[in-house]
Parts: sequence; C-alpha cells; structure tokens
Amino acid sequence: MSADHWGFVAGAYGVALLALGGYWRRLVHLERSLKTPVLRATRRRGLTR
Amino acid sequence: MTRSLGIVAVLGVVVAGVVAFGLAPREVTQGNVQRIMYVHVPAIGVAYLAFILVFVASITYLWTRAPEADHTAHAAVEVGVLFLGVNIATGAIWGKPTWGTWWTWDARLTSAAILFVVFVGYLLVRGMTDDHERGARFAAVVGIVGALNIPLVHFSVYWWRALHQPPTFLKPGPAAASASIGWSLLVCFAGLALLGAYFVTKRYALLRAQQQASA
Repeated sequence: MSADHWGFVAGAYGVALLALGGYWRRLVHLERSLKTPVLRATRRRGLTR
Repeated sequence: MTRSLGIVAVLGVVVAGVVAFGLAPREVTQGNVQRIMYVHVPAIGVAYLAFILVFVASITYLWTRAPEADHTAHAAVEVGVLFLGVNIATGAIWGKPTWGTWWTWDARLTSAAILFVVFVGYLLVRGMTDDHERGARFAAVVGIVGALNIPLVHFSVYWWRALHQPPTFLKPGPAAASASIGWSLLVCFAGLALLGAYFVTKRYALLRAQQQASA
C-alpha cells in the first residue's frame, strides 16, 4: 500500500483555494471600484442641489 | 440572477469538497494522494468549456462586431486561464509524489502549458493597443487559434508517447475509472463548473458595466 502524502493533498487544495478565492476577491474589488465613482458622483450631485 | 448563481456555486463547491474527502473511496494503488484528482480533472474540464465558449464568442464577434460577444470571450478567457492554471499547478503537486517529479516535458503537460501561454497572450494582446476595437479583433483571432488547440491537448496522450495517463472521460471506450471514483469526479466537475459559470457571468456583467461607464 502506498503512502498517502496528505501534505501534497493539502498543498494542491490550498493552491486551488487561493487561486479561485483570489479571483472571487478580484471580482468583488472590481465591482466596488465601479460602484464607488457612481456613489461619489451621486453624493456630489446631492450636495449641489 | 448572478447572485443566486454565486450562492448555488458555493453550495456546489461545498458538495464537491464533501464528495472528494468524505464519500470518494481511498484509491487502492495511489492512496489518498489520488484525491488531488477531484480538483485536477474537473479544473481542465471547466477550462475546456471556457475555451469552447471563447471559440464561439470570438467567431460571433468577428462576424457581428457585437461588444457582448467580445465581453463573453474576454470573461471566458480569464476564467479558462484561471482553471487551467489550477489544473497545471495541482497536476505538478500530484506528480511529485507519484512520478517523482514536479514537471516533465511530456506531450500532455507541454501542450497544456502551450494552451496556457496562448491564452495569457490573449489577455496581453487586449491590453497592448489603445484602439479597443483593434485589440478585440486581434484577441478574437488568438482566441479562435487557441481554442483549436483543445483536441491537441486532450488527445496528445494517444498521438504521442506520454507519461501522462489517458483521459478518464471523453475518450474512446468506457470511462477509465471505477464507478465510485467516476461519479465522484462528475460531482466535483459539476461543482467547479457552477463556480466557473458564476465567474464568467459576473466578469461579463462587470465588463459591460465598465464599457457603459466609459461611454
């Protein structure tokens, strides 16, 4: 029976989690950065009215 | 709708994790290190699907010049590169204890690396020109040529002598895995495919919003 190499299993799933989670976070940041200028502009318009 | 897909995708990934570590049997020859296959194999499947979408969307873009087709291709390339990167990295981690090496210039590994480089090139081409339409046109051509590499990657193990084992699915004859491992792989593929679909949908929506904001 071969060794289980749990360290490699953890490493592989860790890398996958980091990559996929990192991309998820990137999408969240992109969405925020798109919303922020709109919010700022809306607030500015609100102040001038 | 995108939010609901995100919730379903998270649930799908959780179910995939439960199957990969709880329900799938310990493989007799390799031991538990074979559990890496429950992320490695589905990841290439999702990458293939993403690149097939790139192929269709790129042809549609060249035909119609519709920005929606360009956004679809752009979003799918990012997601395809992400999942192909996960596939290559997890394959290297599995290769070390199993083959005794992180990397070898085997036909499957080399062709997958070329596919990865071509689609990273796609993303670079988009950013290289100030003329958005010109960049989109170049990128569409790279996307079509890149996607045509998929059969080369998949069947390379049959066409050349390779260390990499033949594919488990999408092969001549029945699936090369026991029923319990085969089903576990399919469930994990479904979980990661949902996540991939969520990423493409979300990225597409953001690209559209970016375009509307800059117009």
